[in-house]
Amino acid sequence: MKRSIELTKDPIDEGLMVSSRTLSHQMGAVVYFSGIVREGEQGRKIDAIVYEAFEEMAVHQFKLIFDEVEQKWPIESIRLIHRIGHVPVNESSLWVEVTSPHRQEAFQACEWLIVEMKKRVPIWKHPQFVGD
Amino acid sequence: MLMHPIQQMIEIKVNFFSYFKDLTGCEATRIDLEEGATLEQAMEMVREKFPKLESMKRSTLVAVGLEYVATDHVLSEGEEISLFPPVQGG
Repeated sequence: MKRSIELTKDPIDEGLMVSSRTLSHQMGAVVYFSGIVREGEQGRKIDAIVYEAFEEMAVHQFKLIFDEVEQKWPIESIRLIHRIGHVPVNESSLWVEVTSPHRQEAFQACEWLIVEMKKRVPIWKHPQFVGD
Repeated sequence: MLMHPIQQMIEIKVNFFSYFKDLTGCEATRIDLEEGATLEQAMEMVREKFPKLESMKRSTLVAVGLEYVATDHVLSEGEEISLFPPVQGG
């Protein structure tokens, strides 16, 4: 399984990610998810989220999750980008793409990966409340 | 005269992340433990040193190096512990 993991302070260029995709001829499904910073957190208005990561461990934990994905589904590739630092409202903080022969496993793997990330990958949000 | 074996000590670095840095007032500390001490014993020592962590006891996540390990893990010189609140990626 091909895999890439990137933690970056830069905005995610979704167009570049899509245009740089490579697929074998056996692949029939590409699912990608983009998580966007909303303007509300804890019932208050925010203008951004600052993401903090224990970077070395985060990358390691993503690799372990990818290993498990590979055991569960016939996935050809996973590409994942997570922003760290300041991410304004309306920008993507997470972009993850899964490719597989059929849509069902691509959807399931993408969802499962994100659920597991939220349990074990050491990344934290610091909402930037408007007016603070 | 009875001879008591000298207890070897190990020094362990403890890292804090997210608002645990605010609760402790630092990003990291060092603790001295008797050789053979477990992660649980280290965490008790850290909570004694930083009592504000006590209220977070049930939701604290703990790693040794880059792995989540059981609290009966026996620590070795050079290992690093990281303590942090529930993760929130995405």
